[in-house]
Amino acid sequence: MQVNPEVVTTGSNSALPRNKLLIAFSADFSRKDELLAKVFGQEISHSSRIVRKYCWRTKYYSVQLDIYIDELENLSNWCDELMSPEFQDLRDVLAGIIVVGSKFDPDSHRALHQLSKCLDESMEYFGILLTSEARRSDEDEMVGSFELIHCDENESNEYNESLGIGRVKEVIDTHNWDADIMQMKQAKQAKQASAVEEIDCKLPSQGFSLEELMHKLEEARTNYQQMSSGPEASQFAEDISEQLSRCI
Amino acid sequence: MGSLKTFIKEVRSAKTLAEEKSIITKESAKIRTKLKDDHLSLEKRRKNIQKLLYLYILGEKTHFAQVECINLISSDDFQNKRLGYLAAVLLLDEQQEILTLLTNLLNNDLNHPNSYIVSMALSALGSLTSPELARDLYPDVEQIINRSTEPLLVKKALQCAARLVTRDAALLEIFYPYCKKVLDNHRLCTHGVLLGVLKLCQSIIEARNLYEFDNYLEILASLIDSMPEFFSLLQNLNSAVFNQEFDVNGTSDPFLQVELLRTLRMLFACAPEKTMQYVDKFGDLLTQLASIGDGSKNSAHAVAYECVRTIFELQLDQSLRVLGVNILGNFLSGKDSNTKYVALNTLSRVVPQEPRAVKKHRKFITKCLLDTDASIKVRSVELIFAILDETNVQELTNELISFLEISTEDDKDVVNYVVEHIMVVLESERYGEERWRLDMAIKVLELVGEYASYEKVNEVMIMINNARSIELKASLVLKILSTTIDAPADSKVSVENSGWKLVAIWCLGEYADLILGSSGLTEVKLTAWLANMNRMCYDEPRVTSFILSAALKLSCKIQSKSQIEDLRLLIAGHSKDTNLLLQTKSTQYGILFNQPTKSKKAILDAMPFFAKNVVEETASSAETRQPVKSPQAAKETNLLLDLFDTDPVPAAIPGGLGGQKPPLNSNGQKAAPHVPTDHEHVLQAADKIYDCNNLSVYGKVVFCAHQKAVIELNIQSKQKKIINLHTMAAVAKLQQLSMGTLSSGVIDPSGIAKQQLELTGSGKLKLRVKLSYTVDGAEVSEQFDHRFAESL
Amino acid sequence: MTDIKYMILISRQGKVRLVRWYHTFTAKEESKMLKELAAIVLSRKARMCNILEYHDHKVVYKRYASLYFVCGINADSDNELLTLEIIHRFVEIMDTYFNNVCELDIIFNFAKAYDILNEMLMCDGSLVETSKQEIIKHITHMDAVETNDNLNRVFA
Repeated sequence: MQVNPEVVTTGSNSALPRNKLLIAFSADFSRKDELLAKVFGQEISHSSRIVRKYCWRTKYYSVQLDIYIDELENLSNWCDELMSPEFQDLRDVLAGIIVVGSKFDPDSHRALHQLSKCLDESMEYFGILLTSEARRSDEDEMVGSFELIHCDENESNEYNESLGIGRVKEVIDTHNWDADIMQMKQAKQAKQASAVEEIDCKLPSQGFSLEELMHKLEEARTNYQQMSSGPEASQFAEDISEQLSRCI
Repeated sequence: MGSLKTFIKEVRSAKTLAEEKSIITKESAKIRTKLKDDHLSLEKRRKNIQKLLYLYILGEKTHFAQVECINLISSDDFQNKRLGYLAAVLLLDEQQEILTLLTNLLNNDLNHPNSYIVSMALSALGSLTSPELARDLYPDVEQIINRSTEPLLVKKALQCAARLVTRDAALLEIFYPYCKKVLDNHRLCTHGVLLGVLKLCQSIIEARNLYEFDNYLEILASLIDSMPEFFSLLQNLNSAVFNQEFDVNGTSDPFLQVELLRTLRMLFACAPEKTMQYVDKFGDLLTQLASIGDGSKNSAHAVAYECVRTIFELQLDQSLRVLGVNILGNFLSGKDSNTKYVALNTLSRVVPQEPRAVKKHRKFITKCLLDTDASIKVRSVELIFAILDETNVQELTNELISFLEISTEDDKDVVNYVVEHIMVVLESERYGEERWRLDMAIKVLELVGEYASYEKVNEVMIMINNARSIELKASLVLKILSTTIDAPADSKVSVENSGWKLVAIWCLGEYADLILGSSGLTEVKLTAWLANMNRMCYDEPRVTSFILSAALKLSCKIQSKSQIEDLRLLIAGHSKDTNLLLQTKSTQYGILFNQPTKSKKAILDAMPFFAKNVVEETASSAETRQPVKSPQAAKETNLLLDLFDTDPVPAAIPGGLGGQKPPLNSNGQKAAPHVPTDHEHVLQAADKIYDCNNLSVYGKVVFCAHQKAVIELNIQSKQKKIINLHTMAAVAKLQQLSMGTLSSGVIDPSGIAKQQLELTGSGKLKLRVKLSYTVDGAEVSEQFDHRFAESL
Repeated sequence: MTDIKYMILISRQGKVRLVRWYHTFTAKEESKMLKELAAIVLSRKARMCNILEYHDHKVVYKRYASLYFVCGINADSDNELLTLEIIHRFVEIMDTYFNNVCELDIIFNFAKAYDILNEMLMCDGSLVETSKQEIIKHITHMDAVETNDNLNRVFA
């Protein structure tokens, strides 16, 4: 039972979907292309500025994004600029902001807090502050609504917790994208007609043998394969095997 | 550089295109219309419900889907039913009328041949148990418990039964036999089923006050009969070989163990006499349980913690209580902060019962001050004050001071708490010789005076003022002033430490004569420092106010004409102060300054010994209170603030202005200013039968003979005003109760409300009292039991 | 008595991913609590303890990967340490069922996550089952019945 969260409403007045990812590199950050490749898995040059119709894929859906790549000298000034009324239209279509740099001073943190406040009313975007600094044990994980992520950490730790670039990807994965731009991967459904014999779905009163059920299912599949051919048959076979794997 | 402009261009061109398209409709609105469409296929309805559930998680409104849940449940399709039931437990609640539509569906599904459909119906009934559903569907639930051989269904049916009993206590009569019956069917008793049995037992015990029939004792007896079974279950869970399936980090099913302990605890508590025979066995078992399991794992701690709670709730014998305290002490020595948290919390509660045992763990308690988590520090500090006594006061004070030395801005609340409470300790003569207490008080102020309330700063001044010997006073003042005036470089005193500033300035004004000349503190130096403070603290009116008084007083204690003139100028400098209070003061002092020295001295002499007001404690509360949380200092007088303050003048001003010394009692404390009026007196010879944060209840049997007894209850509020007070009471089965009217539904702080109860019948005088009231805007209800010595 | 008032899953980005109330609250209370709890839990530092006092009850929470599992419990009667184990148990079962569960799985299969939770806790937040295997067994059986039923309907 897979659910399409396309029902998520945006509440935004903008006629445009929120599908822009704004990535701002500090000028001093040297590994821009390397980082872009790690996150997006393909050659994107930071100098290209605008990447249109990039396809972000997860196991449940894919979504088309425009990636805007900027370079900044001073984060405070950059934030001030982005917050100015002139940029309202841009802010309205931002799904996420990723600020990347090697080191951030308290001024930068203050700037991001301000920016968060300015953007926060909607909560429809995600913010990431990506740094190559090492993690400190006492640091805050959030700077305003920007999550502090250390780009040089392993992608995950022993607790199955995503870190570093892995976490960046996870944040993008789990974002509430506008329904209009999301393409769901179709849940395979057994809609084809078939000659599978009726399986008794009532449970025997004493215990319930999964093996037995699966055996029946397998039988059904065999029967079906004998009786029909073509893409519908293979689709059906796939469904049955999926059920099997789920039960195991 | 600066691509933002490029980006906005891009966005705007796209926007122009998009605006020509139609406006996007809100999706939930679409669903709403779709749902109204009767022709919509079930398949589509299901999809829509799934979306709705998603909206539910997002916090959107979903009421319009309620009927739809019921439509899905009524479907024959398993998938639809499953989703319908899920939606029902999430989207519906017990208050909705729509539940009546569910009755028939549940009734059908509880008797469905597919076990999973029965299971889902049970889950739904358990979540949505309105009294009507309870009444209509209990026979189905009973039948499942009685007939089904599937643990899946029996465990859920038992949980449902427990819930039904809380809705309609009379149903306990139907369900109680099944506790034993199911337990006896060993083949059926999976851990899930056992949890169900325990839940039902607990529910039956909890419902006993709502159950109106006389056979409750029989019912209870049948539960008590199962106790040996519970014991052996607990024992088996802890035997050397246990089922790996239930292993949680080396502990065998801690969930079941905890539920067993709770059920046993409830049985012991509700029938102390009937369960007497098992007390020793239970004690042995608790001793055993508390000591097995991997001592470093949370799962083992969870069980040990439940054992400790059981020991203290049942007030088991002293050796067990000491064991309990020691287990908690072990928790503190570990690394896990959750375990420390529960240990500190529990220790705080049991200090009154086992003070000595708790005190033994003070090393680990004080170690918690170094924890990174503020909530642990707070609890550690609370516990430190709870165990503080004459024998350990020095050790604990030193630990607290070490903590204050390393405390940071983040510790503000903890530091605040320490300062407020340690001053109370240091004021009291029982906690050591005066010199030490004063040194410590001054040390605290030096370290964290910025966190001390003005009242506490005031108290330090009182302590200095009241110091017995002039030598002691002189040496304290010298210490304070030389730290402040001479060595600001390595001084630990922070610039924000206004508490310290106040005390230093005050000392200078009051006692400059005691120290002039020693350690190079010359008239010039003192005057210059005061003038400097005057410049630096221009934006702190309270400090400035102290400076003005100190300047006036100092002027009588020094000889140098030019310094005296400096002081006069200092005072005159505020004659146009924007702060009216300071302006007035400056003018008044200006006049006084010009008086002949002799008359000035008479007025400005050092203050005599005096004490602050303390509310007298009621004798009865003395035993139960925690050592430090009281005595609650009454609103303290501002005696030391200033002689000429335009604030309301306190009733008794000692010293120079001819005020009278307040009468002292033997403790050197002024008698209580609060004179309770007659009606506020607690009944003579009444026992305190209940005590909580907000109130105490005293009870007395005023009459007891000829099958009739009269009990009077006095409900005394503590610090807060109590309103909307209601009392309810229940008596033993063989007695009748008639309640008089409550004297008042409102109790002022320390006030009393009275309630008379008349009992007729026979047997022991036992009461269950339920109090409901509002305090600080919050509704509270309390319940307690009490047995009086008398019998009818 | 295990008396869990609610179980809420909140993402590190502050989004609610799952919510189940076992006690009745008004819609207003619910949305207020969701907001406050998200703010409180997200602001806690990693080394702080997992128990806190909130209004008239206690909150026990624990972070697993990118999700905070937040449980409201009775301040007096519930065992805070055991509540941590209940949360852990829930995570383990989801982990087995989804084969290394991640936030995305829960977003797209929230109904399954609810199914698992409903086999663990019922009524007013009382624990029904402690066996992982038992719960996984029933959930997968129900999935199988569901698929079969689908087939049956198509063939009918």
